[in-house]
Amino acid sequence: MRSSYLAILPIAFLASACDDTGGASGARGPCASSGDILACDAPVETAEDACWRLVECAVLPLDAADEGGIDWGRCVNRLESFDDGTRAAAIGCVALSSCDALASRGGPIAPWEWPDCLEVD
Amino acid sequence: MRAHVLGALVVVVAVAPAEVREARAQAADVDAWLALVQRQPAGMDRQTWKEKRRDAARKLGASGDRRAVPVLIEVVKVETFDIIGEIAIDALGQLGDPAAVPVLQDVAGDASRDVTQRDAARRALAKLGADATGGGGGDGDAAGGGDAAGRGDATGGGGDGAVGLLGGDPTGGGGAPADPEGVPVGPSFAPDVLAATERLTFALGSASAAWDSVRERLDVALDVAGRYDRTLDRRHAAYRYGVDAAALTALVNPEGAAQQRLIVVSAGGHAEYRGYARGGGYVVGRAAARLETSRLSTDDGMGNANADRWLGVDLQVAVGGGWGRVLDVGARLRVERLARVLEARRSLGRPIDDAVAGRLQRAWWALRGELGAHRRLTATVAILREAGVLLGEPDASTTYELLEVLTDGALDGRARGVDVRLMLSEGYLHRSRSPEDEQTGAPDGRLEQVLLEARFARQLSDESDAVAAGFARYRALAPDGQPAPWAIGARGTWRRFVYGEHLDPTGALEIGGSFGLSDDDLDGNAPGMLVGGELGWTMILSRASSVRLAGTATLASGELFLGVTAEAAYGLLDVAFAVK
Repeated sequence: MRSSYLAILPIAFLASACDDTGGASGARGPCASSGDILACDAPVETAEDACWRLVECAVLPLDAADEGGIDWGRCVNRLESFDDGTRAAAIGCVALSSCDALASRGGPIAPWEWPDCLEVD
Repeated sequence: MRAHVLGALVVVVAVAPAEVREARAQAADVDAWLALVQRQPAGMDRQTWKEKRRDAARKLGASGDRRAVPVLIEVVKVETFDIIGEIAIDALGQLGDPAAVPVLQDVAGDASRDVTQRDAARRALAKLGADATGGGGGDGDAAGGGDAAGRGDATGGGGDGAVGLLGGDPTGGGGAPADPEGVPVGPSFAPDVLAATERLTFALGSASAAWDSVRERLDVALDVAGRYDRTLDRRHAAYRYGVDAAALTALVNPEGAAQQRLIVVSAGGHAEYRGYARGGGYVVGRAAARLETSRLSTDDGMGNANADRWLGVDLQVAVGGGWGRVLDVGARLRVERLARVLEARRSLGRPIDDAVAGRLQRAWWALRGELGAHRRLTATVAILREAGVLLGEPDASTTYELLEVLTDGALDGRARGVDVRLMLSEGYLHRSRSPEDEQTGAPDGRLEQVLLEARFARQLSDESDAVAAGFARYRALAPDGQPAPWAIGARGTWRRFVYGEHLDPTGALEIGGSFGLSDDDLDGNAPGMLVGGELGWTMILSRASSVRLAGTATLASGELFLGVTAEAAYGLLDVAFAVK
């Protein structure tokens, strides 16, 4: 097929000052540590989606209390720094994993570590 | 007197050869009528054949020739709408063969049949001295009974258990059976079925192999997933169930010194049953199970290797009560749009009633596994013509618009209704991680929850809809020292699909909003709140080109997030020319 495609051009920016709420700040989704009974299937397709899911699962804070800590903005930056194939794999991993699996590394236990899905680079 | 006897003898002698000739002639006629009823002769146009076929069926009934019985029974089974079905029923009554009793009893008790056919079947059964109710099964029930026609699971030809719940699915495990005109009949849904859906998807989400020339390494990723879901809503009961499985693997620099390998596998299933009382209230039971495992192994190429493994098992049940239901009405919207097309084209002979709408949807169901839309189009046209809805042969423009309606993905998964439920959940969750094998922070062991769900969907037209969903959950009976988190949230979306002059999809506008509030019940974590909105517009420029623009604004726990997304895919042209 003779066609070409413009790649997806995501632009997202944080537009407010930091608000130190401590811990993994953010509103939780329906399946954050509730098991599979609610049958959650929120679409996760972009780096922003993946990082929102990590916040909704209480894996990442919206804004890290510590300077340089892992949070939503750094999650997006990290995924954007991956090459296309690795980024797709990392986003797919976040989409496929349960909240509990995502929180099993990093998260509230070790907020300085990335979840496994974001370690593939 | 003697003269009379002699006269009679003369007549007998004179008539006997004529009767033999007539009998031979009739036998030949019956053969011809049988052939005419069974198949369309070559060279005969369809309309002429249908008229001659009806006439032949009448003559078979009057012939008294019982060879016609199995042929007419077959006609009665498949011709649920054409008047030939009624003619065949009358003919079976005339022929008086008890072999026709079961099929006539089926018709008499089949509420999906036209009332004239059911009345005709009762009259024919009366001629045969048989009871109209017979020993058949009626509507079929939740136990998978099947109907009186034997279209239940016993004759389903390899269909699955759920097929029986639909009152029998003649599609069984193979191709869709068709009536003599090639139109698939589809499953025989019980009369109290409100809606049914079946979805089977297998997605190769992504597969890539990329060479990074800067770091000189190869990355390989593969993502596959499969899912099956089935729902059935009947007046007094409803169920849904499904299974899914997905796997993802990523190999970073598999041939190099430093390597990473990630594997994630997840498989699960869910089932739900609702029993309805009058007024729309219901009791609900739900069960869910999931197995999830992942492994991330890292080797830095300097002798330092590490592997992190995760295993999660969920076993949960929930019981409760609710009110209302949300149904997938996309197929019905498709039928309504077909009528609009025909009306605009001045080809609508009569409105599409429930019987014709049901036959169309059953045919589409039978063809759900077909690649392409050719059979769906031809079956749709045949059914509409047969029912007198479509007047004459559709011209090219009408045919094109019918095809556009049949293939319009915007009509898939369109929902209508309200559903609110409150459930109590009990579950066992097993979570383990190695090599640390430490508490992960996630609930491990028994977990009790109070769950509230609400859904609303309304079709504002067949080009516009509004959907909303909300949830609330609270961990109840948490042991001392363990948190009892809660969360509530809601999301709503309004969509408008835009079409061109001939129903070509040209765009879609989407406006959505979301709200969430939660508390993790952990020291150091403040309650989180989120309020967001999204505005998106997709413009379809051509078969190969589309542009999507979306803006989002989210206020989450004191942070304001603004996002703009622009996606574009374009193809300038795709054309070819060949002399030979």
